[in-house]
Amino acid sequence: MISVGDLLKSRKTLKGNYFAPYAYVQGDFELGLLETRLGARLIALPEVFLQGVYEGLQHELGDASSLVLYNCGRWWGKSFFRRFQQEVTQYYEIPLAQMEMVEFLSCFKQCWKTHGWGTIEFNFDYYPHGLIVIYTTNSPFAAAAPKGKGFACQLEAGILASFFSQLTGENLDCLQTSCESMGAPLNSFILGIQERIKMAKTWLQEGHDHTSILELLCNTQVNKEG
Amino acid sequence: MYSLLQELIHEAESKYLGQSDLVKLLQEMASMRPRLAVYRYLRDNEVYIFQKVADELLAQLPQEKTRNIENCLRHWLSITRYSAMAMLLNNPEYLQRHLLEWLTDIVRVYEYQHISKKLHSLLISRLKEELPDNGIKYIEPFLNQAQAHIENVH
Repeated sequence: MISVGDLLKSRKTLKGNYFAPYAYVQGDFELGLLETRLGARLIALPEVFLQGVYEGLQHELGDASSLVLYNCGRWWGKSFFRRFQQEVTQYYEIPLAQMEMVEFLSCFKQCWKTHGWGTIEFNFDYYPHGLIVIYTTNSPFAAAAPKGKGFACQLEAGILASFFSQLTGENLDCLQTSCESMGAPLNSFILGIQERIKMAKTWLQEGHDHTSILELLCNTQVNKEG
Repeated sequence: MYSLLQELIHEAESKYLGQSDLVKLLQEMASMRPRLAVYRYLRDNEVYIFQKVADELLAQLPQEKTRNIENCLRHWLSITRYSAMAMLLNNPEYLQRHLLEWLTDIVRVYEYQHISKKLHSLLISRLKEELPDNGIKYIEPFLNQAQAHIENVH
């Protein structure tokens, strides 16, 4: 016997998509503010502004601009995690840590989409090797970056590294291994502990592609004491 | 209602709406009363309807784990609530964006498509019997939309 009355009283949510676009993006138009449905401020960035950021940083910093963007992403990801945690916890009335993994990921994917950052998918096939593979499409950053000039989604990589570091309590790094700005159909990222991503970076510089880097990572153990 | 209203508002802008648009608006408003009646019925009889569905489901799927049936029932309680609002707004996109998209990965993990198929059919039969004045015609398209979405999750 299943009691529907008890099901309705259980702590498990009947709520759907907190990040549904029409509900999530609100605003006080009188004051010129765009806000989330819980009142946190949002701003719309024109593509031309992002193009200017890439051009300006490249002009001033050259190759170091990638590192700057990655660190900006890390900083952004830290705040993004706090906001995400606060909003999701408040809406679903359950701490993030107690949320089922699949519900958490569904929220994250919808959040990514509603912010206009394209789509995001997770592949946990490499989780036993300590890696999460992430794919994004329609990245606004890849679209604004100069074409064919190298990996361009350092901001996203930084956000992902920082967000999942906060979530897991581990110090994680994230490496982009394919990019829409270089003609790839999607942007690929590998997320893992810093020692492993460091090795992956070397292989990337040696010219290995996404699949081959994953194979190499799976076949290589890290000596944590080393 | 909502999408039609939006469309008409955008169309009108600085001019008056034409006769055909006003007729559309009137028809939409006329169907609001029976939609509200269905909405009220679903709201006030949620436990009664779903308890009957749950009992029949358990009888028809004796081998299935109760936990799987509970998960599916919980999601269909949610689907019916969101469908009821989508019906009031006459807006399938509301159901899609506010629930079904979010539910996709969850359905993929729970793998309860076969339970959902039975549950959907039991729920429709139950509502056909219970809803007065052929009210089923207002809610059924949204429940079918949800079931079609769940069936297509692989």
